[in-house]
Amino acid sequence: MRVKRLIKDETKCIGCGKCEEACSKAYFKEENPEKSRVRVRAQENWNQLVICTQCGVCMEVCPTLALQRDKNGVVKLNKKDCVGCFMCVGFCPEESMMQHDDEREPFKCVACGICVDACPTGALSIREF
Amino acid sequence: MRQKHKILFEYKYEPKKLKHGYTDKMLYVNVGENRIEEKDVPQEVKEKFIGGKGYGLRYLWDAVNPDTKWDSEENEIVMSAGPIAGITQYPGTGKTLVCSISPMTDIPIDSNVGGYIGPYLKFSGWDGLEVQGKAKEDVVIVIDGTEGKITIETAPEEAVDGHVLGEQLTEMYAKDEHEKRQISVITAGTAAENTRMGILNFSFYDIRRKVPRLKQAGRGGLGTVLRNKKIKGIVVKSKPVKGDLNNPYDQSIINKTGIKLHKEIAHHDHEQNNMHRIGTAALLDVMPDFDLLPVNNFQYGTHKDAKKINTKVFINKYLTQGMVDGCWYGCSLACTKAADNFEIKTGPYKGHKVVVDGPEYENAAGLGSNCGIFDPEAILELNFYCDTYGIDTISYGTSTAFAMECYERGIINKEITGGLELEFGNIDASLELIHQMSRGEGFGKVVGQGILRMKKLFAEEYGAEPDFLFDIGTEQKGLEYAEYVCKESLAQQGGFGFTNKGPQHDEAWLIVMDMVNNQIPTFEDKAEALHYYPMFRTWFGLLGLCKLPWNDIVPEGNEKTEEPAKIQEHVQNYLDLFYGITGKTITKEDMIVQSEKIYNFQRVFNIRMGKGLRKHDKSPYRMMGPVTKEEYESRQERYDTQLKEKVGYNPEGKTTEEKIKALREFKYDQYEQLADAVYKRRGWTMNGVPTKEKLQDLGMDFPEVLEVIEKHL
Amino acid sequence: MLLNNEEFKDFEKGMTVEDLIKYKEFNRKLLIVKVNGKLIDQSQYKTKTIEQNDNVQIHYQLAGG
Repeated sequence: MRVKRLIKDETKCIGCGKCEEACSKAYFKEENPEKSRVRVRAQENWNQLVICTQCGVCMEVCPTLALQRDKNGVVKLNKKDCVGCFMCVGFCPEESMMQHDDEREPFKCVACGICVDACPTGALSIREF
Repeated sequence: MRQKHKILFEYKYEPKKLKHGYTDKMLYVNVGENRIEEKDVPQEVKEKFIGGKGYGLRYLWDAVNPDTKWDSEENEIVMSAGPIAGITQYPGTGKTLVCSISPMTDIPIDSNVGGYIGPYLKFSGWDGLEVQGKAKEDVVIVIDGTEGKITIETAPEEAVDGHVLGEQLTEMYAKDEHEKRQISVITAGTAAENTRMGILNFSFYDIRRKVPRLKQAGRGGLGTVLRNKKIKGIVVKSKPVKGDLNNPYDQSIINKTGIKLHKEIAHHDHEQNNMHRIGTAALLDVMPDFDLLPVNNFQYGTHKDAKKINTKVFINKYLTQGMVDGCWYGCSLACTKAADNFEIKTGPYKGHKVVVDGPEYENAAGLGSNCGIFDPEAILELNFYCDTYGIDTISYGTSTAFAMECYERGIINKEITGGLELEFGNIDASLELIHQMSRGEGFGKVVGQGILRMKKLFAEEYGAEPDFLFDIGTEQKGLEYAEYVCKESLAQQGGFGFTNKGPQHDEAWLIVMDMVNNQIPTFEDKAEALHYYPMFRTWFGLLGLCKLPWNDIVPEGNEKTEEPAKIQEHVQNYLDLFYGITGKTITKEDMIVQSEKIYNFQRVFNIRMGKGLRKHDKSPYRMMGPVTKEEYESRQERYDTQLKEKVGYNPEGKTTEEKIKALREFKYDQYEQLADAVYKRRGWTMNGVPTKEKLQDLGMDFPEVLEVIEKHL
Repeated sequence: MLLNNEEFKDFEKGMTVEDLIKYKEFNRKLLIVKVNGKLIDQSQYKTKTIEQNDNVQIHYQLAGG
């Protein structure tokens, strides 16, 4: 099925962290990389972008079916049904299911594009495929 | 169906919130007097008994007296999970321990079970549940934590069998499909009414399969006690689950430790035991290689047909892969496999396509190889009926194996069995036995009494030789042995023989460490292992934890540690979880002491009820060495070598009978020496009685406890 | 040569860890091999030779249900 997802070009990433600020501000009202659904991890001479590819492994391991695809194929978490077991966090192949101790439930990228707009170099974009 | 219920008693309450893993309240329900009470847990009980099995034994001790039998009015079923139970982040944190005076052993049984009951009781305001008395007609107990209401209701029309009643009660008390996940049900089954080996099924609702799944409190006959009390089922309805309902002291360390283990399992389970594909049946591939798979009442350790029931067969043909099969939220080891759409071929559910919960290793070995059966579908069908009729697969398997051996040796015959040809491998006969247990008729009823009673009956009624029956009667303290051939492992013989509840591998699983790896060669090594492992493993039953995530998955680098078998990093995980919930920092030595308290209390409880001394720890020879000529000759080289090298006895020119006798004397002597070493290490007298000093050291020198041991010192 | 605390009678000069595993028909998975207390990595099984006086431990990392 066609799925809306974030894609990355790490060669363009300058490690400014604006994507993290914009994401966490939008969903948690604070600029905090630990609460961002996209992460920048500085490597030796490049920047790694940790993003959700909407692969769906998290859906397969969720005991309450709290993770489901919406009409755009984006995997979304229904917090009400989530029991906070974090198996999705442990099993995510991209390590992009995020967890923070302030929250009972984990959180993930919903391909909203806020980080895409915040990125000054075009290292992030949204595509449907 | 619900409309036919009469509410005999209703109790409204304000469900207390959990703090650091506890509500400090026990729920007491008496179905004879229709009385419900809240009991505050005293601080001293909480400190010394912690929860789970500790609470179970403490409350059971107070309820019974030395003359109490399993079917006495005052016998109780006590169940409790423990302070860590109910967290969702770490695998294996939903276990409940159930205690009662056992119809099989006449002493306390403690049985460990998954499913959602324990956590749901906690979320409904209760650290545990005591059930006492006997109802006049079939009732269900409904504990509704969402409304703060408990009722004892008659339930005249409901089924008794586990899988049907489980569905009926889940459907009945959930307002819609979505709410079914908030319901957990305890059931027994029709065979529990006619045998001593009844189980309790604890359910959890499988959201994908849309059916309640069943886990079992298998050993000891708890289901028999439930049905004797005329209780059909117990329903617990919880508020929606969240990961912090325990109100932990430090949620962050729990989160961190849980995610760490999820990652470990995600990366390594398939390289190690493959639990999430096959569950505990993973052992089926390994046991025959080491001569440990029980065949024909533990006569042999392997069989040419063992490969017909190996893991590939079950994975490829029967067990649905890729489902989320944890028996409590957050278990990523997910060993609770099931066969879906399995068509039942016999009995009242013939033609039905059902979900079969299993097989566990014990089921495949007990229902299968130990009875000479190597047909995977027969095992699944027997597994299904054991669950729904409410019978212990281990006691059933081992008892049937014993009956089959008696039949093959002419101790019993077709006339006695009512026409059943109880030969090893006869699937139809085994299935017929099980259906007879459900109907309460025929030779099935006899087998359902268990090996201890069968031995007595066969000797008294059919002139069987009591000594031979003692040798091949694979039970101890009244409980059937679990499915491992420990003839070559003195440590495991002790692991079974010196166990409080009876020969269950719950306390010690030393067979590979001893027999294959030879890691504990001296008596002192074995005694040390028979101190550490039972105490360490007891801890899980105090806190609400499952042992499998401790040792059926190991972290990278474990082999480089000092004692890889102890899996030090996981031990630390559990200390961290304990701190995270309670705020108390304890060491790994403290863990052992916490367990020793309850362990010694249980030993004294056994003495109080009549089976806690050295003579009760003896083992039937079938579990120690070759009883018969065929057994000896099937491993002649091994035994001749043992005689030469270990016994100092020259087998040249001797008859098999003479060699059996010499080996037997040696092995019996070894067992006695092991008993000496184990009792010494545990701080007990040579008669197996905890000393006053030991009990004082542990702070368990209660007057009622000292009163029991004083007679034996 | 000791294997798991017992005299190993079929020792042959030049035997490697791999040879020993094959001889005893050990199942590969979950083995922990130590020679004279030193852990031997899987990658070295074929090259590590065992001497006459060595103390070899080959343990299964297998626990039970």
